[in-house]
Amino acid sequence: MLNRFKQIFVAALLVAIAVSAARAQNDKDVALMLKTKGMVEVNQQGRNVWSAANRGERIHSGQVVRTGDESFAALVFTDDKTQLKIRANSSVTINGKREKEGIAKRISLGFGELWAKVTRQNTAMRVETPSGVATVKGTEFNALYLNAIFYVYCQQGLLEVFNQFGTLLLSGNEIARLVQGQPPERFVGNPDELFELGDDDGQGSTLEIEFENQDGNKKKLIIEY
Amino acid sequence: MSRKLLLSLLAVASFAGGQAFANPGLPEPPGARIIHTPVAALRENEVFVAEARVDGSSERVIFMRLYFRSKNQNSFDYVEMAPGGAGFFAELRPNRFSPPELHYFVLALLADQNVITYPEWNPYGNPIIVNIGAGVPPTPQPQVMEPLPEIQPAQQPVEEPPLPSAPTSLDTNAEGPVLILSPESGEQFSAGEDVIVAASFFSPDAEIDVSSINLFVDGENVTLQAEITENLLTYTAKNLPPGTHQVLIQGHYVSGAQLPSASLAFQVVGEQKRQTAAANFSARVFAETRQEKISGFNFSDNNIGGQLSGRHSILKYDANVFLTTREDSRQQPFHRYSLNLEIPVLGVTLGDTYPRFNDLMLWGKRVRGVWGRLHTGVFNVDVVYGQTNRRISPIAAIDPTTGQPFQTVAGQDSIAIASGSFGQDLLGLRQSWGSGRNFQLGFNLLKVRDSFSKAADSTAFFASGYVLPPQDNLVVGSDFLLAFDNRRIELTAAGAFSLFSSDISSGPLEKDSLKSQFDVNLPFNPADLKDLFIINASTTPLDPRDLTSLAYNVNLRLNYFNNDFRFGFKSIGGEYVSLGNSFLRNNLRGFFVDDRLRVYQNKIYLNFGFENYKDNFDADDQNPRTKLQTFNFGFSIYPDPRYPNFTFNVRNHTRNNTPVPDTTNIPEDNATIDWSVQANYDLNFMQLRHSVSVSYIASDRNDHLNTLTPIGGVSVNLNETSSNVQLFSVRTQYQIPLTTTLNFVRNENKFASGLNDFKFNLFGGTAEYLWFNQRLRTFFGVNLTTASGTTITTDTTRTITDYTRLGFTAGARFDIGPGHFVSLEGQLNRFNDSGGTFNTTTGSFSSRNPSFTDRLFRLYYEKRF
Repeated sequence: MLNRFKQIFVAALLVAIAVSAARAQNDKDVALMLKTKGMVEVNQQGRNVWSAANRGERIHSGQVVRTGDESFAALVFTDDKTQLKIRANSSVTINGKREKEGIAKRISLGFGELWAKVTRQNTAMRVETPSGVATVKGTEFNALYLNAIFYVYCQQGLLEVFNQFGTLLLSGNEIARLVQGQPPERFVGNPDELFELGDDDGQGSTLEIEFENQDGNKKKLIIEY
Repeated sequence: MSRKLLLSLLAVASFAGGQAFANPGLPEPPGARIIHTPVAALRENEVFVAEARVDGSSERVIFMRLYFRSKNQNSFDYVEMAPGGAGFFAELRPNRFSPPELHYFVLALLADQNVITYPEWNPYGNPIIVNIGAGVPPTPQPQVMEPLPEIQPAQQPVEEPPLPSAPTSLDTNAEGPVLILSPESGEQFSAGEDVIVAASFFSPDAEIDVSSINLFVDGENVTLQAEITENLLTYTAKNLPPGTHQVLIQGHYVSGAQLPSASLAFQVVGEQKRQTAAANFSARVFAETRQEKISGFNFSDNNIGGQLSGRHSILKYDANVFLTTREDSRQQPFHRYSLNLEIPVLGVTLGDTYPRFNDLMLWGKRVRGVWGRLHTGVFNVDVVYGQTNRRISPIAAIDPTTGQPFQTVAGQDSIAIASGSFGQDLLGLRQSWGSGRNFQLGFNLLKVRDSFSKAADSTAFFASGYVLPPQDNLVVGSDFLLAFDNRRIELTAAGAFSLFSSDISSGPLEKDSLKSQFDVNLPFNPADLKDLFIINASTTPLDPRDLTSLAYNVNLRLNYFNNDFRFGFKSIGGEYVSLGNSFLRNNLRGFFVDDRLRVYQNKIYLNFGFENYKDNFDADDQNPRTKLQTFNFGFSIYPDPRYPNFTFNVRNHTRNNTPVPDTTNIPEDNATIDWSVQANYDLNFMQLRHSVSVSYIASDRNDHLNTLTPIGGVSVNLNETSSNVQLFSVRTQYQIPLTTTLNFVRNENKFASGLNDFKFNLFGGTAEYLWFNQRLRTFFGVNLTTASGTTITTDTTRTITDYTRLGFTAGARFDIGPGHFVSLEGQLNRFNDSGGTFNTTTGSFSSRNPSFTDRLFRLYYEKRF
């Protein structure tokens, strides 16, 4: 009887190990850290232990990326190359779950600002804050969570924002504002004043000027600034 | 030292080669041995790596060398093996050898001037043979399906070959199961910036075999350096030069179907000034210190050096300097320095040069002097002049009673504390027609003579008996190359004739003396030619019309229908000597036939070979003619990358000199069968990437004469030997930047029908961890060797080998910046020897070597510009 119990116990243990191994694999390598500037840290999965983030570092589901002053982090999701840029003084939790069509992405914006560009999305992507949620389908957008207010700027495509009080659909060049306890509302304002717009990665920009001589040969002058 | 070394080596070689394994059952009592795990097979284009160390000796290793050659080459080259790990190692780039086989042996010089080799006996005639199996590695070479898109660089790097132009739509990363996440197509990186290469695998309909994934950067397979898990591949490319670079990822589905490859190109750009400098100038400086404690004695080696190469306008230049505290006027030079200058058509090298005319005459011999070249492509001239050996005075033992060297007292033998050598000068001239691409006809002259002054050297130097007599060597020859059809047909031939005087201390003979003493009537007075060559009683051949010092060879190569077919015939006369190539085996005539066949889309390689040579074919030296026949067959299978690749080789080598013409000759009739099996498998297991290698190498010599010798109370056949090596290794890459390697090697050797034996087991493990974004590499290794064996030296004595060696290695390398690093390494080796000599009559046992602990510390610094 005791031996039978042992066998069942061992079998159950093996099943548990296999299931947890499969689950662990399920949330591995959901994103990749491509660029960092300044102070960028990630925590160990599920622990309050922080270390400096390195280029090429693999990001697993549940890991938090935080940035300091004048800092910046650029990530890419590994299923569809969705880009995510985390601006200075921000904290973002990367959650992803592998599904048949890709990784279902759930980004928790604890505070700060992010920019995202979704190119060939096959699965859901949402950005969550305590004030509300933005769900994304093929778009480029900025999200800012500051003083318990969640601003979302849809640069291109469509974007749905909602909380328990209502839903709002944004199209290109529209801004939504979500405040706890209130339904989402369109916000009329200058996005430049709210967000760090553009594709600025904090690494400097370039100006390209193309010259063509009389023979038709082209040369390009690139000015980095 | 090199002469002594050479003589020692040749003595070792001739022991087995000439004396035909006269007494292999009774080797020298076990002492110093080279512990080395032979390599059984290699892939074409793969770097060959050899590691070896010396066990069982309390003497320090002065140097260790790897001698190597391609099959059917007449001569061996060598590279110095560098200290590192738990011993010495050497790497050979694939351009140093060619299929179908690489032959090599390892040689070490110990501080007591003892020379040991691996294989232990006849390394020159019976080297280790590595089958070079395939034109592609088991992980496929990059097969770029389509040309990559051309990218307009911000600043075009100097001399960077342009990529083929193609529309951007040919970027193969647009859609597909392999998605390159980084870099972007056409993305630009600054010079010196690390480039993150990342790709994800996503295929909802068909499972991808992640273990089949291969990553190529600029055509180089870097998969082993990449971190690959079920869904993601990441790799950091460091120090890429300015220019356009390519990434290519290939693999298979689990079903075996090929994945659509993913590829793209990106740019590394830098400041124009920096690019120009990088393209036109490069340099490297290094400094090294080694502190060793061997058997209680401290040794110190300090080396510095540098290399410089570049181009200024039409002038190309490079320079090398290596200075070491091992330099000692009592030995041949260890310092190396050279300066090479070239402009179109003209070139000159000063310092240590290694000229090559052809392998019958001058082939990589170090010459300290000048090598000038005029190469127009139609008409070419090479002139080499310099010193190959420097003069070293011997040190004689002094008779305490007389205060004079021993040999100066009548009846006493000379006793050398250290032998010496004459300085030796070499002059080489080569005139050739043709560029060598499709045609070349060359005429060569080589003159090598020891610097001997009768007045100065007769008593104090040469007459001491501690120096080999001064020698003189004159070689003339020609070589020829003809190639057609893009070198698919290649015909080469060479011929040379030598004169060699083994002792010119007495000067030249007059014509009359030659006639009266040797009955040789020359049509000229040899004394008149003394400036060119000294002819006297020691000259071979005295009568050149005998053609006993003629050497020639003819080789044909055909490369058609997936066959690489070679045929060659050579005849090296018994008296042929060229001091420009010390490793040429003479008195040998015969032919070889080789073919290497690729079938089944290059997944299977077949090798066939047959050699038929006659050793001592010119029996003037009274040695019996020995028939040497070798048949070899092998195959390599490189299946789908999901499965292991497999290599098998067998070689049957027979020696037969029976019936011997004289009772003083030792008859020999034996067959040696060597065979090897090797399997390699790259796999993913437990989400880790493993490379597993298993080898078995065996050699068995069967003596057909079955001559029995009574020893130790039994009758045994001393000529029967066998050995085998079993190797198992696993290299694992973890998801953290950790790589571990575990090795197990077992070697068993039996001599004299198993009466004597020697075997060792080696367990080794190393771990390497990368820190700080791979800037710091730390490693730790431990290895344990246990060796045992018995040699019956007389009827009543047994030499017992029984030792363990426990070694620890630890070290680190820190990349200060691109091309700038410092590394340090420490080794601790504990040698416990329980061996000794056992007397079966008295039962007494005397131990041989004390146990000892060796320590080594090495610090190395290098900066590249």
